[in-house]
Amino acid sequence: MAPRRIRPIETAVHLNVDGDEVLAERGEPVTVALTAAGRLTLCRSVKYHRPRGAVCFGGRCDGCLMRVDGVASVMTCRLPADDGMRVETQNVVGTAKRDLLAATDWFFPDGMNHHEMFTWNEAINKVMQKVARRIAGIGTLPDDVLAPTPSDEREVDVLVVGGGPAGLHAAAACARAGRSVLLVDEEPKVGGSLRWWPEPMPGIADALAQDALGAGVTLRSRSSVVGVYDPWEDVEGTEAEAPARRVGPPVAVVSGPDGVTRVRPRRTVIATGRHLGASAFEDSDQPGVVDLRAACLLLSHGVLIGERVALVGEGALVDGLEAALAAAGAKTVGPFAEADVLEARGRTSVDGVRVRDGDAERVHDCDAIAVLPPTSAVYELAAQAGVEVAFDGSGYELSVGEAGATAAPDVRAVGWATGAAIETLDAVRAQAEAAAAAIVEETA
Amino acid sequence: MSNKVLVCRCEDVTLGELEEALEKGHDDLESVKRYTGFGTGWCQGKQCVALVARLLVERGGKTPTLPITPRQPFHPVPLAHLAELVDEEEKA
Repeated sequence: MAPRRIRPIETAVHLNVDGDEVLAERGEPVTVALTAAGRLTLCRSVKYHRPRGAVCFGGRCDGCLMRVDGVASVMTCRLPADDGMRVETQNVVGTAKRDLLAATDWFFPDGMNHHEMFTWNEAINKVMQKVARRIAGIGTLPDDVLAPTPSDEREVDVLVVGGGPAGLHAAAACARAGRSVLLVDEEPKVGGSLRWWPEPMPGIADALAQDALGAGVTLRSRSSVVGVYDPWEDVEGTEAEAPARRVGPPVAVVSGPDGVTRVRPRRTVIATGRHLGASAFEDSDQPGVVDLRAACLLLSHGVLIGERVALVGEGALVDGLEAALAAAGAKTVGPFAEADVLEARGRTSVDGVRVRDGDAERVHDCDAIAVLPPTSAVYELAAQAGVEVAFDGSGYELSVGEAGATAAPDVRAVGWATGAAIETLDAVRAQAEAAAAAIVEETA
Repeated sequence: MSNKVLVCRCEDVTLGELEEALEKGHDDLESVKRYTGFGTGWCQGKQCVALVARLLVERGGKTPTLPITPRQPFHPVPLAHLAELVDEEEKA
């Protein structure tokens, strides 16, 4: 069985995928269109050339990298489908489904130890390094040398990172108080979890976006804050002779489809949400195993990941997906505790899940597996900006106080990144508006 | 596809390699990263850091209070975008 659309395409566009024509809804992510067309294997892993498909559908994994219009390693999960796009599998000898280099996977059933492999003879080691470099890696250079894209700079009172409900509320509240606000969001459409939650709330997402834009917030979609840097004054001599000093506010680098902007914000709001992470069981990396958010996101685009979906994990989100799949006409098995899941079965696509059942083991038929591992805050940018991050036994969390305050005086964190999920939308709003009020006061 | 338990998809690191690293005494998250290469691929650990931290604790490794140090850029950036950021003096 394969994934299928449960809603007809409204505005069809044609993609050329490895020479085949694939229909897509205009503007939906290319990976969603490929999934709906039953194309789950999109690329191959770097070392063993194991078949790979998208897991996260959210710019966090390696599963959707393809060559698009002559440019390698495009994350097709965030690329809106458009007519005539040329999408190609990269890094294979053959096709994505039959890659001759997959022999590497069989040659090394137990993995390879690159510390010791072929190290007993220098000449052989050199030869094998060359071989390894040909087999490994992702993508090759673009067809044409890309011209440098222009960059720009801007100063704002407040930079909000993440356009979910918390980020939108914080941005709107700061803008209403007269602060200049730039909101950066990675997805094609802002709204964050409101757009993919098992019971999505796109109406609320649209209303919050309108509210923020109406208040004067500048919105940058499909863009990431890829780093934040302290500007240092230029000094001659060694650090001991003339210690460098931080001059002015930090510079956040925003990267989007049209290039890079260097932003100097007086205050930064981290509303980056959560990493769903991964589960490790036998062949959990095979196409057809997706995270819970991906299964939900596909549903929001009118695509069923499978007819009989095994659920792994626990809690309200898993129960919500179970209900949403049932309402869409699919069957589910489980949910199973993550620790009990032993193997994703199937040779060319998922056909079962092997699960511990007391002292025995059982195989349940299924054609897709949706997992919800313990989640973590999206902490990377926050950590660099000075927010404390710590392991809580299952994932990494930000240390956040009243009104989103953090160890960094110019940074506050709000929303799902701090554990506030949208089941309590009023609480998310209250936290975001408290953070905004504090920022408005600090920047008076 | 041969049966494997992968703990880091991007760099194809197996559970066996993680356990081998532990056996050789690499019992903290940073050392495990340096020995196995987990978390150093396309996703830079977004998928695997918490998972490897949990697996490490379950196997008696040191509690990984901090994640591996996040390195910028936190999302892949085309070189064409960075080329324009070089200072005029440096270009000359």
